[in-house]
Amino acid sequence: MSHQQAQPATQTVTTNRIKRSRLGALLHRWGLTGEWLVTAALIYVSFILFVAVFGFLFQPYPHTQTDLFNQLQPPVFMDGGSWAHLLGTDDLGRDVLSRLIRGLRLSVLIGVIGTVIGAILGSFLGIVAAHFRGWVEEVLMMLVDIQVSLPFIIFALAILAFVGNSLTILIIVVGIDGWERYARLSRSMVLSANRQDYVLAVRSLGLNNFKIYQRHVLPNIMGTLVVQATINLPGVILLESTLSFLGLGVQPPMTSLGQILGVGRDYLILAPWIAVAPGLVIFFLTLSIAVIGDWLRDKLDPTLK
Amino acid sequence: MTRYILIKILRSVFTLWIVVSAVFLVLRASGDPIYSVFSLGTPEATLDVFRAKWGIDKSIFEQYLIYLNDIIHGDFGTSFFDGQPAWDLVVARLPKTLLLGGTTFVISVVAGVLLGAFAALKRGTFWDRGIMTAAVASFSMPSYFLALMLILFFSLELRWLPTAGAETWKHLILPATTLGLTLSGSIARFTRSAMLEVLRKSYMRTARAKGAPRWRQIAWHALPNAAIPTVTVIGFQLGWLIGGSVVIETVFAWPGAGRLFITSVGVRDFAVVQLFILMVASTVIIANLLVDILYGYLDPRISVTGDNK
Repeated sequence: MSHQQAQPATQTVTTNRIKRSRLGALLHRWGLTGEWLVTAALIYVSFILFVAVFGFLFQPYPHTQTDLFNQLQPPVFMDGGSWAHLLGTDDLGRDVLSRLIRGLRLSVLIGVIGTVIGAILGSFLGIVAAHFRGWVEEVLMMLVDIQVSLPFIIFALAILAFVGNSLTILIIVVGIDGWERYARLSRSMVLSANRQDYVLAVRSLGLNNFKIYQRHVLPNIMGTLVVQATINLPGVILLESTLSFLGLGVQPPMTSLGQILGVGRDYLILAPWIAVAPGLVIFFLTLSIAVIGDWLRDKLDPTLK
Repeated sequence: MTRYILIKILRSVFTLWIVVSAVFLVLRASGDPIYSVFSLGTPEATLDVFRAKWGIDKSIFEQYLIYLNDIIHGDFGTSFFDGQPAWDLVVARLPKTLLLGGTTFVISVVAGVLLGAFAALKRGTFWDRGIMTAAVASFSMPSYFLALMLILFFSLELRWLPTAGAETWKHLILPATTLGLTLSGSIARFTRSAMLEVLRKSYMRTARAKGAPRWRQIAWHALPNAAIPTVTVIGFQLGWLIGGSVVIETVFAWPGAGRLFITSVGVRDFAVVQLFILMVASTVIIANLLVDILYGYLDPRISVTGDNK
């Protein structure tokens, strides 16, 4: 009798232990034991990615739907807030949560595509510099120096104002920022790869340059470049949000996190939630990616600074 | 050493030329600037008068030569919008910008170096982790968001500090804090890694072995050596500081050159935008040149390798 009663109890204990140890084993396998900050960051970034991709399914209102009878409604947890608008409404009565979901999607999209553009452009130029050496390398490295020292945001603002503003131009401009880091990195890695035996071997076998870089060198330096891309991503997201905040980035009716903040700035006294909600989302997003980037770098490639 | 400096100066001049040409390409060659001022229906005769007046009726190459010539002679054109020379407009705004930038720079270098060195000395402890997490957080924070939060708390909630303007020293506190927090975060990070590098060196062991007191080991042997890489990094941060101040001046309605830039960009006033970019570029390039030369003096090994090149 007592034996029978004890049975289920031990069973739950064991299943609990197995569950915990499975989770523990998974965390251990990914090198996450004791890295609670990194774990939290990974969870947050996954959540943001999920919202960016599937968020439109849960979006309570269209992000452009105005409701002039419900302007500047506070969020549900403040006095006078209602469940109809979880995060309140803005100056035109648009639902802040819906705009946040929509804005997040565009911010993440611009950030990711921009980073990929910068990574491809920079790595290509870095490989070119390392391959041709001589004056090509000198000129490219000088351009790298210029890009490093000058505040790119000023150029970005000028380009968007004078050349014109469209989503494509914005993504390209945002992508240019940071190319110099990939260029430096890939140049130095290709220089050292070209001295290594495997490259010498395939070269003496008569493989052409394109194939050597594509099949042998690039796969070897890819990991480091991807880590660098992770480290650059927050900067790209911040640049886009700053440009949009200043009114020169994403243009209505499209919306991004920075643009919502730009609107919120004018209503800081009356409706602080319009600015606070997107601001916190961006802050935790960039912080999380930075934490993950640092962790990846230490994990995969201790040679990077 | 002379050769090293000469090469650096030549490089700087060349860099400046690239920037000047890039500005020309973006601002002038990107389309007929006349339509940034006049609407599409304006009679052609009127447009031609203004085209001739601003010299944009000539070919692009001619315009480029005239543009270079004007710049060399210190003529930066007049503002499309209030007809004053662009130079006067920008220079009038400079003192405020320098005040804000200078204050921020001093605060963040002092705070950043102290915190970074402290974190390195306390490596692996709670302090180290705390300072480094705060540093990462400080440059993950969008500066304009931080500015808004500080306004919300200190100006609107507590009513201690003004939200905008630049009349008294009180107006300086919030913008300088906002800019300084981010900057000191990255300086702290660099100082820490430079310091850790230095602490591993054999001369530090020698200093310890010969019985130098702890403060002397740090202030005499470690800090000057850690200063070398840190100085370069701080030089590079200058550009960042200018970029950041453009945003922060706008948020705090600080009447500096950065805010003038943003309003000019908004109305596409190209003489002012062009002059501002050129000023920023030459400031940064000259600062980097000085850093390079300073670097040569701080660490004589570098100018030797410069000679070999």
